Amino acid sequence: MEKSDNDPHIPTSPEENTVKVGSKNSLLLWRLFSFFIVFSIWEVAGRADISIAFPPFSKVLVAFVEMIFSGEFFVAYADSLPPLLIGLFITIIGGVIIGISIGLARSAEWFIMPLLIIFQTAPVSALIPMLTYIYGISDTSKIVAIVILGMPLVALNSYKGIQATNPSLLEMSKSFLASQVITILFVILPSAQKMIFAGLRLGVSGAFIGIVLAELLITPTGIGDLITYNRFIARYDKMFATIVSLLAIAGLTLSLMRLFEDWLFPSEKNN
Amino acid sequence: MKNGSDSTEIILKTEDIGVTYQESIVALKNVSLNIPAAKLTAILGPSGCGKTTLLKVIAGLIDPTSGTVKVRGKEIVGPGPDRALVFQDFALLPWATVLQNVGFGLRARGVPKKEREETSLNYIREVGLQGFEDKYPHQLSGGMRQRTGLARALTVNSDILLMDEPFSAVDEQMRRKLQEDLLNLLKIESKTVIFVTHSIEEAVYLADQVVILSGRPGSIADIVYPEIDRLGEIELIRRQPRYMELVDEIWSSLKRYVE
Amino acid sequence: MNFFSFSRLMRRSPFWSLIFWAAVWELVGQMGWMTLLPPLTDIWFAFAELFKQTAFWDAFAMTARTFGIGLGLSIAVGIPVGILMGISNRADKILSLWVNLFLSAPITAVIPALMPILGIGDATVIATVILFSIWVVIIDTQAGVTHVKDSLVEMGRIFGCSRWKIIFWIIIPSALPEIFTGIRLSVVRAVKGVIVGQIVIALIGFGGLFNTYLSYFLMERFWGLIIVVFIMSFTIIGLVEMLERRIAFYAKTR
Repeated sequence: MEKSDNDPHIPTSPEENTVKVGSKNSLLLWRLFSFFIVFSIWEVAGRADISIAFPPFSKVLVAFVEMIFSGEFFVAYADSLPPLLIGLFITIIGGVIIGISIGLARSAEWFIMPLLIIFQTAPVSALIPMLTYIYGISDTSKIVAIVILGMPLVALNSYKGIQATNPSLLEMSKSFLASQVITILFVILPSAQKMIFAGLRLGVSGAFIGIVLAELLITPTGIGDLITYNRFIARYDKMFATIVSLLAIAGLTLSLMRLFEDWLFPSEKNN
Repeated sequence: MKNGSDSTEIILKTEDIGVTYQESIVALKNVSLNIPAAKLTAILGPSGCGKTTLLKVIAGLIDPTSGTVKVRGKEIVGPGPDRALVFQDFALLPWATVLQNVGFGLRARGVPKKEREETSLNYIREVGLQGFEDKYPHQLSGGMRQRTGLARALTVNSDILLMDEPFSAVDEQMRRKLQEDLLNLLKIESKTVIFVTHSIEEAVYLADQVVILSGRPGSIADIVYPEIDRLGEIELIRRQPRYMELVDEIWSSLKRYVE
Repeated sequence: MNFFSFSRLMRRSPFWSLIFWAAVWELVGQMGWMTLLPPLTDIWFAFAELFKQTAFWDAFAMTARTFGIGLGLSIAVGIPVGILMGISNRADKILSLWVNLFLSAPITAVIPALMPILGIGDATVIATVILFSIWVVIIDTQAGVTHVKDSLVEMGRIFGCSRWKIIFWIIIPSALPEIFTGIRLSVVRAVKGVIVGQIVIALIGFGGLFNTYLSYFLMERFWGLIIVVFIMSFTIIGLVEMLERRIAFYAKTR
């Protein structure tokens, strides 16, 4: 099946679609190769003197290790973690409850839905600077930022999950004379599980965005502040190292969540 | 087992075709066939026996692991202007009209628009779709969609027409109509047809030569020559005793290959 | 996410609940329960003030410019990359890691890194817009390409289409519905990107204005600007949805 790598992916047989090109090992190799390419380009670009504010990969790597051992990362993440977790907790619980409520009750939907859509689509981040005025320079600002950015996503996904319940399952439940409560608990909610979980993942990604934004703009603590501070003192290598660490952590968390989701709810593969 | 008759030209040959996937799954094994020109050869077998794979090898879409396909003595290297394909799921461009779809093969060859449209309109008429030139596939029934696919295959004037279970995605009544129409069409256009089907009835009804494939691994179990009189009234074909006998014969030998 | 949120909103009754919330806002504002939330009527008057200021129009021009250029580049680059990843296994294996990473990562964290390199101006905001919006274009385009029905591609090969013909005549038209969904989503993100970019920099465009109004506690103008920005973004998204619907007519029959 090697030649299909170069040609347009025009399947030569029905079986080809189900054949994963290469085994798991090969996939890992490709990932490593991918990292290698990107880091090499970074190294070369960094040395090319594009800007003093753009250090090559090697410098950033050194700064990265330095910051681990100096404990700077530890302190910053320790500052960010509590509000992140609290904010996530509120986002998830609140989001799921709201989402399920508007999914089940038309009246609730009428009230809440437009707000959710506005909060999901519009650039709500414009409101974040305002949080200082209400909550001051504190963890509360961070928590509110997380909730504003994450909850609409969780709620909307829960709502969609409920809406997507297979109508024939509902008919089935009715034909067996099940009460509303039973139907909700044993048909609707299990059916919505997958979308709710997907919503949680989106909520987590929103939470990361919220806390970074809050820390960049409002508070002198946490990871966002570490980025701003290092930029301020022109330690661009440390700034980049912090950003990379944040992207890596966010990326890993979300990947793990996705893997967990896939494991919990295997989707039907096309065959 | 009657012998395939006279001195008809053998337009296509498959020589010892074998197809193996991932070094262990054998889809086809030792398939050697002679396809006579201007006749309809059916490839019949239960699901999963490899008949579509065989057709795709003949079409040039799949490279066989072993063996060759020769058209008029020359080995094929992929798809070619001598072979056209009619698809089970119609394979129509959903954003294009019937006229545009039928003209697709000509467009791919760089035929200018005016000529393209003329030829397309001609075949649209021939398959009975006149009046539907500007319709989109989603506005057509299954039978009409397949007629579009057939018209498209005819415009490119290939000598060999390959049909992959073309009437299976269509309901029973429409299928019978399409079968009749195909026979009528073949009276006008002299084409070699290789027709894949899982219906014994359909094979006996349409074919001059029925190749029976047994599955896992797909190989030739038998070749039967219906020798049914199709020159007369098409409606009477199914009443001929020979037809009923053959269907029974084939079914009894096929039974053991069906899961 | 593939539901036409805003347009459906207009047609269904829940839209009228916005009127309800507007009334609530007015009430809260009039009662003075939250100093940060002036009544809607006051904000309405502030609109006139807002539109008179050159600062507003400068910010508007800057936003429109950077949004347009950034989004345009995202689409112009994102679609070919998505097609490439859909067609070539290798490209997919090398790039998908990064595309997926940046798709949901907090890109906002990268903005401070852009500022010293690209300066405090258009370039940084454009880069932010691109970083926010390009990934979803790539992913959705790739999905559209991989979902092209095999039989359509086979049909193309049978009738002698070259590789490029297959891409332009079969694959791209077939993938258009997904591509347009990707564009719609990228517009949503680009709007967020252009605003966040300006806010983080805090000195330019609408970001700068928000900052100024907050610093001087001109809450009517602040909220007026928020509403203007929100309405602008909904208008753009609504337009894209309309376009998307035009294309979707054949999406079901593929």
